[in-house]
Amino acid sequence: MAEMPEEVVAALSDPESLKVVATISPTGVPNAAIVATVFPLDRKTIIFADLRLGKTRENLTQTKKFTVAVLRPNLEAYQVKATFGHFEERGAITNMIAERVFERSRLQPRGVVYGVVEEVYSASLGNPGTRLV
Amino acid sequence: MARLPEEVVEALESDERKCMLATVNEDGSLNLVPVGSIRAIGDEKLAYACCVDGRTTRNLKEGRKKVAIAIWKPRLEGFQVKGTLQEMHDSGELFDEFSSTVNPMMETMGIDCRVQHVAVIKVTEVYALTLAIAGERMA
Repeated sequence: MAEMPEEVVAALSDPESLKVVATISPTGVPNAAIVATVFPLDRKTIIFADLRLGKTRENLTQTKKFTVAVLRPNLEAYQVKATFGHFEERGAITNMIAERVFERSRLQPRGVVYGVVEEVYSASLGNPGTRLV
Repeated sequence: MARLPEEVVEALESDERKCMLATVNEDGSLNLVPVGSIRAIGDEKLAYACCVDGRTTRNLKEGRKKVAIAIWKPRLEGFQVKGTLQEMHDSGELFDEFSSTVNPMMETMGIDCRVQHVAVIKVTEVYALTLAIAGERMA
């Protein structure tokens, strides 16, 4: 388990950031999906809504690993490696996320994915690959 | 091999589009980084400039050749292209072509790096990532 630096939390909290979640299938095929709902619940936990997660959800339950990359409009970028924790269909956090998602998209999420932060890297052009945590 | 749909080629031609490239590390974890120079080469291949000999290039060179590329075109259009590394160019026409556009851009941004290789990806699958139809296979 690792703690995300403040600047990474800020990037993930920025609604203008592009956020992508990559997973891997049991046969080693990567999958990359744009997931606008990625949010840092705290410094050690990443959550995102299951709106239309198909392959991503399937891979998470099978291989457990995922990586989130975040790119801010100013091109500041980070890569967060995480382990799938659990999937929550009901609860205070899930309800809060569902409300936010519905406000923006008029879509009802099927639940929320929880992940535990393991490693954090810079992906900015100035220092790509530098491990931050 | 799959054919890139027209809307994906158009998205890649947009100045506003942003792309993220996923490769597989030796321990099975994912490497996922923004890549600014991705473009279509014909309608069955993509190419991009590797400016840093980092994890992405290492993964591809070490034989883990499968990639997934998320393409986002503001505000609401998205695609995922899956593919396999076909070749890596360290010189030649394609290399020179990418170098002539990417190197000056890096210089303008004050970033001290130049094109090291140009990777050519053979497209195998294409999916929509636009929310209403996310996950639908396009090619």
